[in-house]
Amino acid sequence: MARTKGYVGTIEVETRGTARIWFSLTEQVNDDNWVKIAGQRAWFTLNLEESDRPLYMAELSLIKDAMRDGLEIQVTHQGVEPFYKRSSGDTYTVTGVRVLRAPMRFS
Amino acid sequence: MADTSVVAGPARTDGSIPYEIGKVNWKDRTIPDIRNPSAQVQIEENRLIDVVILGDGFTCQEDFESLLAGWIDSFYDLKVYDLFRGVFRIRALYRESPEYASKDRNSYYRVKVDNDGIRVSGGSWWRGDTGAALAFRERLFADVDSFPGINLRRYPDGLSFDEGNTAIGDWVFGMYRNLVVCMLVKTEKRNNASGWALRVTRPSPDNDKMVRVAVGANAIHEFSHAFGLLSDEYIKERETVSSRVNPRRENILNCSNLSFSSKYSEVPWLHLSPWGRISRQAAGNEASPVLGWLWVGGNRHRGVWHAEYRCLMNGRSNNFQFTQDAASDPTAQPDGVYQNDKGADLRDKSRFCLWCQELVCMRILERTDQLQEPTDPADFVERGQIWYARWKSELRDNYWSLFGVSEQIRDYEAAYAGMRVGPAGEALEMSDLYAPFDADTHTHAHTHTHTHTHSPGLDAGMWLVLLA
Repeated sequence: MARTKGYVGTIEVETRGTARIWFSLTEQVNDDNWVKIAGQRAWFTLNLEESDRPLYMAELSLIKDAMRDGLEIQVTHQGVEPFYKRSSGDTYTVTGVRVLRAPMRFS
Repeated sequence: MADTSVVAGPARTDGSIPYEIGKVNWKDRTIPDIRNPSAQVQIEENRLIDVVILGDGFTCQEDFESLLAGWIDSFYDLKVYDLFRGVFRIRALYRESPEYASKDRNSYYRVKVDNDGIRVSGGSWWRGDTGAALAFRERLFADVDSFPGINLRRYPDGLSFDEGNTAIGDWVFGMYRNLVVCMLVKTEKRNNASGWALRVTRPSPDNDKMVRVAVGANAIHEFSHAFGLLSDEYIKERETVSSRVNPRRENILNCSNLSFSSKYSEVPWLHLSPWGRISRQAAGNEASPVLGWLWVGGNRHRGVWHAEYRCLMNGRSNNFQFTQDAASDPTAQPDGVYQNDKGADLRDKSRFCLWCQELVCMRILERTDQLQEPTDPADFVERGQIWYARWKSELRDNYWSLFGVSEQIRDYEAAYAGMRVGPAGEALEMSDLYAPFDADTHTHAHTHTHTHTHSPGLDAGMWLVLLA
């Protein structure tokens, strides 16, 4: 399973045909060094229109708490999606979120 | 340190001169024990891998010997061949040729060379049951058979993988399993003409028996085609599309260094990628890791990928250097037009990419019976599936330790991070020649083990209130 870790730097809700949550990670909690994959800033997404809504709501609560409290998260995700946030090849659908309490970090 | 001695034996009655090459390496037949990498294991003599080096067009023994010395030096430059040097019994035979190899085919083995005298001809000049084609095969096999104890073990005949259009097909069945022939080719213009890897059958009635023959220069690249069943990773013609597919069932016998699928779950080198065993990522101005992603090309341009930017199995041909926008790539002329066969040279003669390295190791172990166990099924194709599963679940860890793969990943990521290959010196990470794996086509597949039930009374609005 693909894993990417970092600190939630931004969360967006957007409807562009499909209602989605988008978020992006930074490597440091107080910096804007956006985590990138294959040279591009990586965007992670949850589809709010999926039938398994409770799962997505649970994941979103973890993401929100992690951003608010400056906690590191580890996102498990799929490969590159054919749709994108800003440029082709920048988007990954989330399959799971793990969060550590401060000051722990994923190794 | 591998022994690279080239030792001539006494001349035979027909005037040919046999050689033993690096004998110290293989005389004891010991190799690392893949089940206990700190130990060695001695393999049976009938499980040695015979490498026979012949030469066509040589009119002088010294010229042949000089090429043998270069061959063995290049061979042991590759880590996997060096580590497993105990398994390769390397011998050679010098035959004086009446003239250089040429299009006229009057040299001893009758190898056909292009009109320009630079390249061994393609096509099918070695097939056919008459004339020079027959003479080539008769003489090649007569000399191969002349070596004492030559290993003529073959894969079973008549089997099938029952797969589609894969890189390695049913032609392996009946192939000599522990024997590879290298044919060095001297022309008037070249000490060793550019070449190919051929499938050469014995003359009738034994034409069900086939040996892989690496012909010509770029010798270890061609040898690795012949022995390792590795494919070319360069782009031979731009804007071509591969019609091949990955095997549906993983099998060590037909596993390729190329992937014809870009999907996360279908690329065989996932474990080497930044999403694999050594998880790696970058942020800000750091160089993105690039080793183990999908690198475009494998003879065809599109629909086929390999694991690293550079490898022994890559080349030049019509490669891009940085971008598939041909007019913008450094391989284009100043006017933006690209000239055929002036691609970027992406061959690294000193190393395999990490996926090719692992495949060659698997081939060595498979052919020396190091992967098998008494409980393996009788069906040979099924065994190949079992061996591949065993490799992944039990033996890959030991391979990783034996080769120091973690350190290799670190070292080569650092090397790639320093490459500035774009037209304006852009870093390799910005290249469009690679991409991460694609998402599988899926309905949302959860990997969680806990169960959950929907609360039928809660809609999205209620959930948002709860989350606030």
